[in-house]
Amino acid sequence: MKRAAVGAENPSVFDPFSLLGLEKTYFLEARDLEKAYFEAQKKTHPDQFAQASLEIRQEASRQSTAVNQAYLSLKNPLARAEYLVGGKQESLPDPDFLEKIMVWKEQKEAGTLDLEEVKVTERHLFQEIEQAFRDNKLETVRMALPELRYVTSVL
Amino acid sequence: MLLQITEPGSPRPPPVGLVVGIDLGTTHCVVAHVKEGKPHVFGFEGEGPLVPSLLTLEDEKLQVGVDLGKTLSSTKRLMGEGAKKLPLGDYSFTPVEVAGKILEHLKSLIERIGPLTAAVITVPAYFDEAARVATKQAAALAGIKVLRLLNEPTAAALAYGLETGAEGIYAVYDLGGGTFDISLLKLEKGVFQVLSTGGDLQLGGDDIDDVLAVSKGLSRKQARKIKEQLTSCEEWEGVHRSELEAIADPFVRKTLTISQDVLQAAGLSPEAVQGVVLVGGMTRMPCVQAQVEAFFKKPPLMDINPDEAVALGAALSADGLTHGSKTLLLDVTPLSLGLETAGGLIEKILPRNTPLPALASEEFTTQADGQGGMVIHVLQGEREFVQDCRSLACFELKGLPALPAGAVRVRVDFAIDVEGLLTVTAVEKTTGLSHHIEVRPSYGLDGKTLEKMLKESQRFGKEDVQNRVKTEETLHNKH
Repeated sequence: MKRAAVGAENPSVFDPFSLLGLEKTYFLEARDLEKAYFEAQKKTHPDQFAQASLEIRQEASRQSTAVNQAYLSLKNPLARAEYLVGGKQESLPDPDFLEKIMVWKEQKEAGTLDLEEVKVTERHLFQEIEQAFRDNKLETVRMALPELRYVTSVL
Repeated sequence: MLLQITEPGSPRPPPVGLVVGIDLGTTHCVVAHVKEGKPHVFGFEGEGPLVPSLLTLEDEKLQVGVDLGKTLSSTKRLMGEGAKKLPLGDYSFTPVEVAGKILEHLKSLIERIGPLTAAVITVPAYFDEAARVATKQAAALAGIKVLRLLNEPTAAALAYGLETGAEGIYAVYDLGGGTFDISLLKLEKGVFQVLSTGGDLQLGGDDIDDVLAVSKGLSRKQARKIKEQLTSCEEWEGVHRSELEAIADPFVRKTLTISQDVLQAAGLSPEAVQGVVLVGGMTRMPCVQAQVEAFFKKPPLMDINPDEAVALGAALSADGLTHGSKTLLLDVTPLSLGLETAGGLIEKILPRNTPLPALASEEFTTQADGQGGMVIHVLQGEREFVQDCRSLACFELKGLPALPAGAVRVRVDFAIDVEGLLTVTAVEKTTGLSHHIEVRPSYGLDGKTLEKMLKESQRFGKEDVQNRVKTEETLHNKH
């Protein structure tokens, strides 16, 4: 048995922003997201349809699940950025960067990792992505995202 | 965009009869219902609100709630081990059967007041899928229609939140006779959202009773009595409170370690928690209250009866599910769901604390030319190796088309519903011949086994249990 590439987060069929009735932007306030999420759950959560027919309850369950998935993908800024540039980026960061990641992972295993250094790198990458979104430079976002994924995998 | 979900035709009339909440506890049960918008516990005639979770055999007659020597107690801790036989006199019962008997007794008590229509039954938040399914089976044995299973701390939060109108981030610390749960919730008008949850199914007052009993050469029953007296007295029957506290200390510390973990999972500090609601009889112990206060840096909230909060919340939920509710409960899955990969390792596909209902989809391909089947092993737990986690389902997808390696693609969906129950669906989509299977884990307690169990238990039962099996099976197939 082998795992194939995951197709569940296919952005062409699943738009978390429109599902929650939100404007499509990286700059999403946590409170606005939560409010939209709660409103969507009030309309779809299976408990709201406990006395309805089986068909209705199944449909509610499907929609409520999708609302949860949309909420989770927008809550996480990395996933949110990935969605906005068309999905998970498959490109590899440059070799120097990858080597740094390798060293960090080894240090982590050995218990000698300076977490602060990793967190500073993460913060810088997020700042870079924010600026790129502000300037509408999506290619810069695409370049930075794989690095950010690697960094978060160390943390 | 969300589709508008509406029921065609007129809404159904609310059911007649009693709709109740049942706290099926390790040491005792409590039943509550909502009357004129307010939840109340039932004070059963001569028994009070607390019905001991005991099954006793006396003169070939089974009794629930009384302690007459040959007794099974605290079997809730074994709920996940469905087929385990527990001896009682010349007979033996599985934990599911014991829970079934207890629920049957509760049903008869409720029906002294009026016909029972349906119930919300509470379970520890940390109950795994097996123990949840077992609880539903116990209700089926007792002939009780379950509206839904509800996590105990979530139920307590509902009772507390609606009673006090509290808003903000609250912790529910639930230390009972057998289990410990802690949940962090965001309470807001209209929505109660569980942020994270954790617990230990083998940590409760029983453990403290056992250690005290061994160290003093007492029975568990005597030890429990002394422990209870030491809540208000400094000394009882030669045991000083400080001795009991020394025994309780490692257990209480463990609850705080779990509390720390749950805070961390939600990304919160103890200071961010506005209030800590105490639930479960064990929270009456002064040393538990003191340690919780020291950890959260605020005095815990005790304005709700710790024995009754869960049942009251379950009653509110049952009422809301039947007549419509103004407060929505958003709960999470307590344990991660994973798949076995090479080398007995587990790859997580749904992490713990994922909001419910949840879905994870994975695509698999064949590794060999003409590979006709593939095995999918689903597990629950936080550990890395298969042997340390709970096996939920292991099934083989058979009859795959004979194609070169990698050409066959199978999509498997893992869905967890709002009660924490799992359904696995697999679709082979390469050939367009959609191969569809559905798995409901049942831990050796499939429909047939359940039927056999029911037949065996008939020598103690009066009602037509066969019909119940059929009802349960129909319900199962429908879902």
